[in-house]
Amino acid sequence: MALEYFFTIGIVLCANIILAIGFNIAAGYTGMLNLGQVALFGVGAYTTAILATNSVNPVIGAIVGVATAALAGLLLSLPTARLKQDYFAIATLAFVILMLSLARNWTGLTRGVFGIPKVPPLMSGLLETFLLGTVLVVITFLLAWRLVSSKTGKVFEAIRDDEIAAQSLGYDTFKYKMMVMGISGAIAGVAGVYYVHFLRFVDPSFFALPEVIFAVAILIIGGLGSLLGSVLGASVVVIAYETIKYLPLPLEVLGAFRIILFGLIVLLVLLLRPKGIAGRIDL
Amino acid sequence: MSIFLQLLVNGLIASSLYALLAGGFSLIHSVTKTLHFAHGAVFTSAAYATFLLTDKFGLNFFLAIIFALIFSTFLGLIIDKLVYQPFRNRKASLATLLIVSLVLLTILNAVFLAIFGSSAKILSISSGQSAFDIFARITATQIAAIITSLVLIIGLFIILKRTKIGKALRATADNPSAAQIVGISPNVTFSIAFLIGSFLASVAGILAGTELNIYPEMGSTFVVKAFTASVIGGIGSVPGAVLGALFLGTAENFGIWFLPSGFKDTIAFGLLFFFLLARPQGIFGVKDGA
Repeated sequence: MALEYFFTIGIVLCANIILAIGFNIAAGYTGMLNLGQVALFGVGAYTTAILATNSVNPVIGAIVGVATAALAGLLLSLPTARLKQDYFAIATLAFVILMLSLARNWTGLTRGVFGIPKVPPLMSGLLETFLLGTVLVVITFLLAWRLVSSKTGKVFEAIRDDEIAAQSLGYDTFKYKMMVMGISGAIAGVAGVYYVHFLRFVDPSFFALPEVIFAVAILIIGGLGSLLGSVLGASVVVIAYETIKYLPLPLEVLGAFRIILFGLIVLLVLLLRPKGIAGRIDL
Repeated sequence: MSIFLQLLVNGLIASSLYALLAGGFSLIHSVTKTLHFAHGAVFTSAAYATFLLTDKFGLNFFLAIIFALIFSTFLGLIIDKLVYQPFRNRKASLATLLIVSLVLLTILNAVFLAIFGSSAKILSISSGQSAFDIFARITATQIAAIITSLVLIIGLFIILKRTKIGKALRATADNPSAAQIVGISPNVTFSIAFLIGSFLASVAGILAGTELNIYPEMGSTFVVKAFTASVIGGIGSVPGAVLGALFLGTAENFGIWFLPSGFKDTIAFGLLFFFLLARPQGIFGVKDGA
């Protein structure tokens, strides 16, 4: 029992670390505060859930899910990548609400508010799912590490620090930004696909505003421009999130309390320690 | 009854709410450069305050409206002074302020959830009134909503164009440091912008409360629509935002001629991305966001 609980938290943590790494590549390394990251997580989750419940092989469904999230990220970059940072953030937030509206109303595809139950698992048991998650975290971390340490990664940081300067050096910054959104979309897709095959259920709440705030909390608390920060931020937030569950509060109040608490922490971190635990830059 | 006229009227009602919210959002944004998302929570707070005062405490509706307006306008002012100001003092980036406002919106939504629960509330004044048939079915509160919105928007334009306060606001929006040199304190103009904007949002919230269900997150979608309206009209222009609101409200209501009514938000944000892609400067051609 205790061990199962440990694995469950570990699985949730793995999904959140992967999501946070993708978010940090966009927001921390490239300066693209893509709040739509959460929606891309949901797009991956929905795609694989729909395919797997329609008797497509779950592995193929998972791959298609990741690819769809990457493609959605690319498409999202077309109208948004030229915007200034704060407008970009809201436009990508609007994408989350757009997806929420589609998930609720495109009932033929998503079953609307009822969500999609009985998504077949990828692995046979909790331990295996946890191990898969660990492997995915390690692979994502190493690939992300390679990417941000590469020359391309330096271009990302140049775009963040001074986009016009990067352009004047001959870099097509729009293409790089598209690339970032595709890559971070794929990473969000991995997290979403992995998570939904564990949860075995997906519904429109995947696209709810508090989910965006939790992702932002992980990003800010962990720190921008640091992959290690994403790991630490996700760990702190997920463990705190799980611990709060044991407070003797009614369920609805508990949910509200959790949002208020994390919200206040984010505000305080932004005010007093904008670099979070391990960040290298301010937002 | 023609469907066309009914949709036109429905669009007009939605537009008048969006215009109030977008006008204030755009005013606050152009003067303070803050994308004030907690504006949505100010909006919701007015609806809940009215609900609390009338349906729980049995206060007279008009008295309740006055108290609700004072409370929510004050909430907007407090948000600026207590939350945004410390960040501005630390020279926080606009992206930081955006996240702050978004987090604040979520926190306040959660506060509404904790106090009122997730079930939708209805103002008793809006239930059980009979609808008139003028061009289409319309109720007395709907007519009142359209007229109120029209009067306030005209009032906003007059303040901005014809008064000294308006001049000061526009000067700060244009160039805050130059405005300061000629003696216009940004602290004052910021507060005035938040005062006017929050007042308009509170009115919109109360009107929405008479028209729709009141629930904790109702302001989130509304405020992103206010942003959408200001993108459609041209970011940084208050008249643009109002025009964008008119366009948005009409478009999403005519859209459901072809799609189920749940797709209103899909249409609205589809339009946002269309405009960002095809005409980022908006209808009015102010290019500030790109």
